[in-house]
Amino acid sequence: MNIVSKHPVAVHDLSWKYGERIILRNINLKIERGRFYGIIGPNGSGKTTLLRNISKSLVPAAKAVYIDDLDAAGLSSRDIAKKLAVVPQSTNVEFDFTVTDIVLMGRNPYIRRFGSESRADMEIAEKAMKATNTWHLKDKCISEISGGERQRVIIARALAQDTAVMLLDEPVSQLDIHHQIEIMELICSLTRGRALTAVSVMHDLNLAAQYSDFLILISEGIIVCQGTPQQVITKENLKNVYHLDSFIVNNPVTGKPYIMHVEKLKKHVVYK
Amino acid sequence: MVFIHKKKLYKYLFAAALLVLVFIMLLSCTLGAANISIIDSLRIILSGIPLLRNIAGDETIPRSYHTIVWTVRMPRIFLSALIGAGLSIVGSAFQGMFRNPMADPYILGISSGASAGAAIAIVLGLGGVIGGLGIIALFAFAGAVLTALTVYNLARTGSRVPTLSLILAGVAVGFFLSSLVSMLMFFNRDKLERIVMWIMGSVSAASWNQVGILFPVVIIGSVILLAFARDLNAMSTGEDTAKSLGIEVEKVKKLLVAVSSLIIACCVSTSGVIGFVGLIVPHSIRLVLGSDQRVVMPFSAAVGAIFMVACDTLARNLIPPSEIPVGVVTSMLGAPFFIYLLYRNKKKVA
Repeated sequence: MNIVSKHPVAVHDLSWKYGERIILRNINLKIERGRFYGIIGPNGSGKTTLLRNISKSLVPAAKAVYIDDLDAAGLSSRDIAKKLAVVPQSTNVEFDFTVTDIVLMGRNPYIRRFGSESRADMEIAEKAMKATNTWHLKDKCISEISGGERQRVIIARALAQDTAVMLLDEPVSQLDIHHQIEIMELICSLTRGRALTAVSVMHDLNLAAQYSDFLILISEGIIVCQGTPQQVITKENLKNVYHLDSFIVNNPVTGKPYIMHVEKLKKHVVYK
Repeated sequence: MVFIHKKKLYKYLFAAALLVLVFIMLLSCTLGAANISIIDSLRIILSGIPLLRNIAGDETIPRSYHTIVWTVRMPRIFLSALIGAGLSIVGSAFQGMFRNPMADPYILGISSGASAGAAIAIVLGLGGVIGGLGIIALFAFAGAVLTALTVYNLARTGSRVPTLSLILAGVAVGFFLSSLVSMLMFFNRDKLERIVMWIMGSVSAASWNQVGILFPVVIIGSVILLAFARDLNAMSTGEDTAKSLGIEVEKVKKLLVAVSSLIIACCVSTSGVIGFVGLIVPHSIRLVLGSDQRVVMPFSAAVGAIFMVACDTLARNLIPPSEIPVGVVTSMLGAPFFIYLLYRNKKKVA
């Protein structure tokens, strides 16, 4: 099995249908350890479906998704939870759990049915909260902290899961610009420091280009282009996929591409 | 409230709750329409326990008093406790599973199913006893189980059982069966009172047989539900999230629905529809002790039992010699509590 070696996540000829509608066609991906991948593409292009196939939230066909060289179709939820952590778009909790309770839930895959969290689990949770700057919130109720804080808590829970890979589904799309940057920097620093691999669906192309090591551009269920931000964020790709006329400059500090959209395609709506 | 820091405290609290339960059960034994003094009641109870028979010395107490305590009051008190515990623990499990603090044990329409079964038996004039169990109760049980199965299969799509579909199917089937009950009442005016009385809920016909059946169902069922408390915590933050935390959500859900339905079917078929217990008890526990199911579920069971025994004691002692249906008492106490919750939430938002 040479195809999938040394990749924490590999996708091999993955297709997915919702009823009759084909969402993903023959997706091939190899995720390298310790990098930050951004999955971008228009609404309905299949990027979240791809992520959900990898996390096995949707059940992929056999031999389509490999996690640590193992076929995901044969792994239990618990096995996968020890290898992949998922950060959803937003988390609304109806009940009064404290931040510590939520972060400790990340230890769930390691605790036996009649067991409960050990001191070691508590220490791991503490470390995760300190790494995400949420330790001061530990006794707060999850419903009384801000959206940005909550997202950091959810990332702490993902860290407490102690996995090699973190999957994120538009982790910042409901946050304001300040918190967006804060979360992106946090994820970025985690991939640098802890050899964590992050794969994140992103809405904001400029944020994606800024922070990702690699971008995966999806349109209509097909990977149109993948590579470094410079390779993927091009005038041609944006025109093809987003039907967008754009002007791309390089961020003077980071050198990463930055998109300035000029004008949508000249389609005038006649409305009388 | 972080669970692991307070584990010891919860243990002591739970032991205290059990002590209160024992106390209130003893107290309830001594109260009732027949004028038996507290001391005599206690002596009668003691005399029924093999090793303590000699100290009790109940020879001076009339036999009929002995019968009242041991075959009328005691099974009734045990039955109330079991029903209160069963309804409350299922209520808290459902609230977590459906991610809805307003879910109650009857959300899958099981109460309507049991009512329909009981109404059919009453209309058919079946009032006998088979194997120590009332035929009406057996019909109610069949109605409850059939309803649970129907709702479950209506909600099922392939191998998944979406939670929202479960609730919607439960509401729809529940309404259908309620209207069936109304129709039965309309065309059988002579049976109207019996049907209404059954639906209102009462444990006045309690027997040791019923206790014998309900005891293992509620105890074993509760242990199973408790074993999944941590899973329920994760599920109450979202099913996708729970799955990503390593929980086989669909399997857990099926098991919990099956166990819960069995507990509720047994409770509702022996006692009729006792409202609000399964809703307000878990709620009040949550208000005081937080939302961790590992705390909410055991305390719901204990406090539910206490609440039911207290309500039933009130039901049979408030206006002697007649009795108020216990379902009415629980709801009368439950509704104001709800208004209080509403008021409290309003203050929180403002």
